[in-house]
Amino acid sequence: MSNANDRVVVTGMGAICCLGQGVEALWSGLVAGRCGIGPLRRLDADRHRIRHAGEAPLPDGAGSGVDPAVQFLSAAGAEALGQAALDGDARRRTVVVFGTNFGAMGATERLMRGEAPAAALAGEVAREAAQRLGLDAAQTTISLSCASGNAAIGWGMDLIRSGRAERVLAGGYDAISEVVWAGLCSLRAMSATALRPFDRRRDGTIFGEGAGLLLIESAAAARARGARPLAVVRGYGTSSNAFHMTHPDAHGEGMVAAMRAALRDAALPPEAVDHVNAHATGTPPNDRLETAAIKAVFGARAARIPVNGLKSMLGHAMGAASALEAIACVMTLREGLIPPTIALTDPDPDCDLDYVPLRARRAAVRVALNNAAGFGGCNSTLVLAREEG
Amino acid sequence: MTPDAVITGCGVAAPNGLGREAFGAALRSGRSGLGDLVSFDASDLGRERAGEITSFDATPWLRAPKNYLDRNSALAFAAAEMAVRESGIVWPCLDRGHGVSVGTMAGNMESLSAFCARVAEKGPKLAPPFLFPHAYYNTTAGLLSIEYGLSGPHGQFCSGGAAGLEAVLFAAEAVRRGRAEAMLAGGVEAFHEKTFRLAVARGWVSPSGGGAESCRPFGAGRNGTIVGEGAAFFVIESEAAARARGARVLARIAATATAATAGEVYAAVLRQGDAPEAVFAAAAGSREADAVEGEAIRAAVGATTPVTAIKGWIGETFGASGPLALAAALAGLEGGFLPPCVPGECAIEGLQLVKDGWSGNPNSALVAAGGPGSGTWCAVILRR
Repeated sequence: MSNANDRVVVTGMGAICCLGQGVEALWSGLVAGRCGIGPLRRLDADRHRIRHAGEAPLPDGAGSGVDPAVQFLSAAGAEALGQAALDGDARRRTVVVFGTNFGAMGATERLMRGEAPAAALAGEVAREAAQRLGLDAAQTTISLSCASGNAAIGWGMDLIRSGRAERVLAGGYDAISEVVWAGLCSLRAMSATALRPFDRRRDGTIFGEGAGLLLIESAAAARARGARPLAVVRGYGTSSNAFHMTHPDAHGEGMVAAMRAALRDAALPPEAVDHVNAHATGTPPNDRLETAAIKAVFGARAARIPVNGLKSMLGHAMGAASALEAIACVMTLREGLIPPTIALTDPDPDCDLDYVPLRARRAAVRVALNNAAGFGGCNSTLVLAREEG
Repeated sequence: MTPDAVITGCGVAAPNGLGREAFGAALRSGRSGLGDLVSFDASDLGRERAGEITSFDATPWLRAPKNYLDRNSALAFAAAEMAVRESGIVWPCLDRGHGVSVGTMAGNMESLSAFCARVAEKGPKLAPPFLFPHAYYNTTAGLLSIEYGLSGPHGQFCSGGAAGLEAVLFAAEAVRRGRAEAMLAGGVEAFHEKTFRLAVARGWVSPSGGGAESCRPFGAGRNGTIVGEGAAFFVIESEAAARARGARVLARIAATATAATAGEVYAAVLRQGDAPEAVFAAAAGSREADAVEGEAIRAAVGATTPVTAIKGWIGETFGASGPLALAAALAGLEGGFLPPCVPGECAIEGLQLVKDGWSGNPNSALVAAGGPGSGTWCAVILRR
């Protein structure tokens, strides 16, 4: 599927998350092994069961009354478009594909109280953010719960490959709100202490928020305007466990299917993969099953592939999670540096891969695979590769 | 040469018919599904009309009993099961890697609204864990994947009025690229007070700016839409897979397009394939949007191609609207007819609106969806 004619490249990235605003804040925090999870401030924490979160800063410049989701998208979008140095018609004609769990739930809550705020539904959020960024091409919203980011980037890639779009601002977002937090706490999947991927003591995830956006375009379009590719988006895959809405399947088969589909889409064998950025939520079943799934895909070589779990630092930023992790993959491909899994000091015997514990590691990575899974049993995997020459 | 995507099953839940035969017959004879709004009191909004599916019960369409289904999911399950039965495909078939994609604008509003009410009433710590999993945008897609063992490509689109047709595009793309031999795909939108109130606040609902409440696509004196509900689902497969199992092909997906505006999407889909013999427009009675779309149609297919718009009979069903129009087009291709627009004067110059009793025998039809709730348009050309 991947040949010179439909090669899709990344030419800009933007991020906002609990490590700060901007890709630089994200990357420097990750390689330093800094945890961005902290006290829940956006809400009255005493009203909630879980009082810490991966809360992102609200960016400067947005007016009050603008939902945090729209603010995150505006900040990350402006950064990505800026890095890609897009202006004029090329910028204006950029298609938008955003992935999210909840859209702007703060605004949806106001709708429930009888108001009619702007951007109350997920589809409207994309339109609102696109308008703020000065984009007037098509705006698509995908909701694959916590697998949304990768799925949106993948669909954006499909639009480019099939000639429906020249360039796409693609990624994911979500924002903490009263109802989102009440709902997530009600699922009883969060840890009251820390997010410890693959650790024996892991007892849940800790949700967060933010936005991660990639400006992707056909290699030909990038070349034509003299843009420098940061990395290649090689392929993606989605799947469903088709098993249960909130419990994972017994053997991680859904995650295996997504990884294999992504590699098929990328026309790459498993042997080509140098690094896996894991979904690694820190819940007892996920990390064990994802480990098993990685072994199923890569066989004996799995033990030699560096696998990291960045939610130990980012929290689980929901729809933004896999998009932020995709940005980390691009940085890893470029910098030859793999950010660590922090808080992993007592590995679970069932989790016996090389998780790059505690400290970042130098390694030449040509192909990275980025995993995500979400509520409802859906999975998405993205394959990113270094731009060669 | 990429494989062709074909439709082998179609299921419909619409205000004027349950099942695609009843739906097709209602459209053919011009039977409206619009009536008095019954599910809540909208008198404070000055609106009395809606396209609700009254006394709907999903039970006959459920393979296993369910303790609870949001109305959105229930409508989807009914339409999906009808499509699966018609296709003759044997599901569940976990190991085959077949997939599912769904489009909806507002998602599972019934569950979300109930969850929000409980949080407001009892506080976040007493939030009911049972409701929240039913309140996600992707709840319906997840439930369908479990029901039918659809472990392959998985999509959930929320791009307003285009969402359902985008889900169909996702499925066609999955089949064409060889990601799955077969997909279940469609759109759903349940009628809900909160969605209705939002639609009124956005100025989409008739009468916006005076006059009587009505939904008259492309009509003179149109003043907004009437909100309806429904679902339409399809089994979409590669032609080879359908032939191999001896399935009857209802139609072929000959071309697809997405774009930001009506003008762009009609032009884009026509660049991909031969001109269609009929157009099923997205028009829903909006003063501005219908005029823009009418202009786009005239520019794309000229003034002689018959144009119809089914929303006059069922209302604006947002995420379900594209798939319902696709189901209407299938009925027309199969039955050799085009459903008429609601009677009335056409306000768009040079548009050949289908009148009652039109007896053509179209071999192809263009179906468009878009409009409220996002900035995306989608179009599909179906060929017999």
